[in-house]
Amino acid sequence: MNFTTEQIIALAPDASSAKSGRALADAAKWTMLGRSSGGRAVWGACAGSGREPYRTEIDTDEPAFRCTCPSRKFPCKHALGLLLLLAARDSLFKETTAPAHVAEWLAKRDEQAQRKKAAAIKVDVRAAVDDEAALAKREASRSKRVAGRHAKVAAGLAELELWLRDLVRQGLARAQGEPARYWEQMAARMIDAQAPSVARRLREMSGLPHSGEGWTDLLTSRLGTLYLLVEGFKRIETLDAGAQADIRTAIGWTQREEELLNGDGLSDDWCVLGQRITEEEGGLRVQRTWLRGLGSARSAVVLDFSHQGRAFSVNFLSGSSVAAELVFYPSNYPLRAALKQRTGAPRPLHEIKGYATCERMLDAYAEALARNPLLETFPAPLEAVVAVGRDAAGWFVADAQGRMLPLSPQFAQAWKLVALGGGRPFNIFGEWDGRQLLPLAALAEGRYATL
Amino acid sequence: MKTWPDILACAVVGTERQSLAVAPDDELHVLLAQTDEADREGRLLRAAALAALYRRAGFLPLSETHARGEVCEPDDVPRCGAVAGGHLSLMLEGEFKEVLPEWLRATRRAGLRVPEEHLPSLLDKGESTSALRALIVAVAGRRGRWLAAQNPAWHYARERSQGEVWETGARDERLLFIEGLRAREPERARELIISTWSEESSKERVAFLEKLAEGLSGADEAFLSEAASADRSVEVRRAAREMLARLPESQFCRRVEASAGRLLAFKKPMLGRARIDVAMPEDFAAWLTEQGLEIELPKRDGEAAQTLGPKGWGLREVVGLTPVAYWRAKWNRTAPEIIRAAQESEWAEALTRGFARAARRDGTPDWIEAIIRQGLERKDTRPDVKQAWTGFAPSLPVERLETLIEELLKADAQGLRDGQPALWLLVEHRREWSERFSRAVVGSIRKRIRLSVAGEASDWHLKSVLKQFARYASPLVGDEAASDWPTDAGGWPQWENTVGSFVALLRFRRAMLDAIFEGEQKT
Repeated sequence: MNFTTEQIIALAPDASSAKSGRALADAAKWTMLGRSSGGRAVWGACAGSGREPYRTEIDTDEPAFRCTCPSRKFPCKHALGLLLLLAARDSLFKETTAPAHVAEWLAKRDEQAQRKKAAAIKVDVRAAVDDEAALAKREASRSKRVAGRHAKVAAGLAELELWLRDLVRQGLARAQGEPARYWEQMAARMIDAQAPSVARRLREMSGLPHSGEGWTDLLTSRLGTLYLLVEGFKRIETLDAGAQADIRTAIGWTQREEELLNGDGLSDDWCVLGQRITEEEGGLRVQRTWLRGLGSARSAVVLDFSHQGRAFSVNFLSGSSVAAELVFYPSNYPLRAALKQRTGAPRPLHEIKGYATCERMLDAYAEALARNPLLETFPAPLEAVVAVGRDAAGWFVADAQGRMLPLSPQFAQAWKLVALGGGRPFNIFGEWDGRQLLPLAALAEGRYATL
Repeated sequence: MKTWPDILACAVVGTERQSLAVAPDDELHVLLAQTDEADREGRLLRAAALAALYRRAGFLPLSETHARGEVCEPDDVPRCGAVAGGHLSLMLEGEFKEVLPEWLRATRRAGLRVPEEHLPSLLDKGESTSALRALIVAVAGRRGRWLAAQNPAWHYARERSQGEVWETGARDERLLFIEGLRAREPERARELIISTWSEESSKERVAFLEKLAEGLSGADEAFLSEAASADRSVEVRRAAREMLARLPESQFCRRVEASAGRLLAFKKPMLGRARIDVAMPEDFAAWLTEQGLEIELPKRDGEAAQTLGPKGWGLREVVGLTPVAYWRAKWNRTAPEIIRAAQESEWAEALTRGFARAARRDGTPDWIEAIIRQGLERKDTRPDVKQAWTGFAPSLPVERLETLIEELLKADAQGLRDGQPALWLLVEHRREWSERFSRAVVGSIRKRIRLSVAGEASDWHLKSVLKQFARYASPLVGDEAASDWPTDAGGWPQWENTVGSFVALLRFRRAMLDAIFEGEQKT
């Protein structure tokens, strides 16, 4: 499929890579450009500061990149430049036989994909064939690890409970006067207790007392939810499997992806509705990719993590749909998923299917909360809304029934929504948290736009 | 959720001081009442947990109370393609932003408009940079105008009646409007200017007078004469005189020509050079008044009289207001001959400046070129002297200017460099360069670099204006400009970055123009 400049720039690990990439999207900088018949792979050579030009190749199916330059960033500026050049000057890439190294790379990728599949099957097979003693031994060490972590978390949460009780005893007014250390120390304690997501929640709460009007409302709600988590963990053994998984997820204790991918997934045409990147402690970046299955109407979110400037390892393109198999993490309201395999090339989206009215979305949200009270963000694709501005009250989206949902104040592109819609209803996709909608993408007049 | 305010109050103050009382008719009363009354903290936290969940699940959206605005009619003008849109986005973020005006003009020429997603940032740009407004409005399309009407900051771009623009628009908008109107209905434009004349500032009055240049006719004479003699501002009177000087049939012009004719005489002696003699009256000021010319001479020690002295200043004014065609006709001499003869006069400076001003106003290429060549001959590098003639480059037709510069470049084997007249003229050439000329200039710069020496710090001026050249050089030369630089020359390291920026801007312009004119018309 054709990538737009926007989508390509979104793949860049940071702004300076994007800028360098753009500088390299210039035919004069490349030689030996070519593409495979059918257009799956493109390649070229780019003069760099070394003696030999760097050789760059791209498998447009994922997309995946390879380059001989020494950059640690991924995709490097050469890969970005080559892809941008492809988007702007398609005719420069003539179909020819792939040079040896490109053909080799593609073959290796296909082989790796096959091997992954085979390995997955192998593990199942092996598990069945292994003798009882080996199995029992593995089980025992696993139980020990789990019990160990459980104890650590329990101790940490017990401390957290005392801290919460202290907080409400003294009152939020007092807490507002506490220094950042007050929150950070407890957050650090949670990290030690192997409960990183609890640490994150605490950090987010630490900013609330100084966030302006309505902070007591927000903080009290968050404290309540945290207490729910603490109480839930105390009773975790009495809960069903889904709830147990949700509590562990809320703590930050999730199943390993490799283990998960052994299970069966859901195959569908998945629409990539929107993406958001957030920065966390220690230079960690998290990319949330929201998907919705065309056939199943199921929603999913795939999380990718990147450390120190490396790009995210799986590249979904916003505004495309792709046939793939996703495996869901256990939950009473399964949302998080991992990609098991892709079975087709991405195709552009021309509409977003979702909830016809705000009320339908809110109903679905209430149902989701009923199943998983610890759910934080809910995917909200809305089929027919217009952007409406109310001066001091801020911006909203309004549906065909005239109901309005407030847009998050951190969303700065409300005018873009107005421009795209032209007064007529359009599709929108955003994250709903129970109070506000954070728009991530819009689709108007058949054109998809990230926000 | 009735108890929520109480929960909040209790949380803020602290359970130490206040205990939570749950209203008996609260929906969650049953659940909340399950905790031990003595455990105040637990009770409050539990209530907060339940209430938070309840409120999130039970969120009630507001209902729309205002009527929605009008829907925008579909645009008949197609959008520019995605790649072109990408270039626009880049420029609005700050990269290559100096060529944004060129992008806007090209998009308009191609008959395209800006895609919807870029309209807000483009309109914002127009709000902060009023010089871009006319260009932005031209490519905003129907959607852009519809959008602009909804945000007061963007009102400059919405559909407006002419009266509205004239009465409430910003300075640039009104000037643009008058310019357009003057081209279509010159009489009406003048009447409109007259209607608000007394309320305008002197700066505005000068600007509007200049706009009368288009479509100037005898019908404007009365108004201009009035302004020339009676306006309270010196600059306005001067500007009005300048306009009158463009009407050879006007009373004013006749008086000026008559006076000038009495002052100057062309003398060609048998032996020696031709010169222009000036019969300067003792009391010049009085003489001017006698001639019916209301030109006030500056004070002897005032700023305006500095280089020329009050009489010289006055002479320059008179000569400057005389159409150059008058001298051609009177003396039957060519422009170069007259200019050269002026140099031999005791009033050389005043005469030259006067002729120069008249030539620029009249737009006669021969005179302008003669003045430039005269400047070249003098080889005087003092900045104000230099500026006096290099500043004429923009008035010379492009082909003649380029021919002149190329002549200078060919004559010098060392290539374009600092301190050369060719460079001064090139800096003033701020219109699109022809392809051939661009190639010649690039070749000359390459020549210079080839001869450069390692570690030598030179050509600061050339290096600093190279980026500017990239705005005007022909983008068609971009491909060849990307390579064949003398990278093994000694001084190449000092040039590498500057050349890099030059090539980058030039190729960006090429890519941008290609995307607009050849790119997909629809997305």
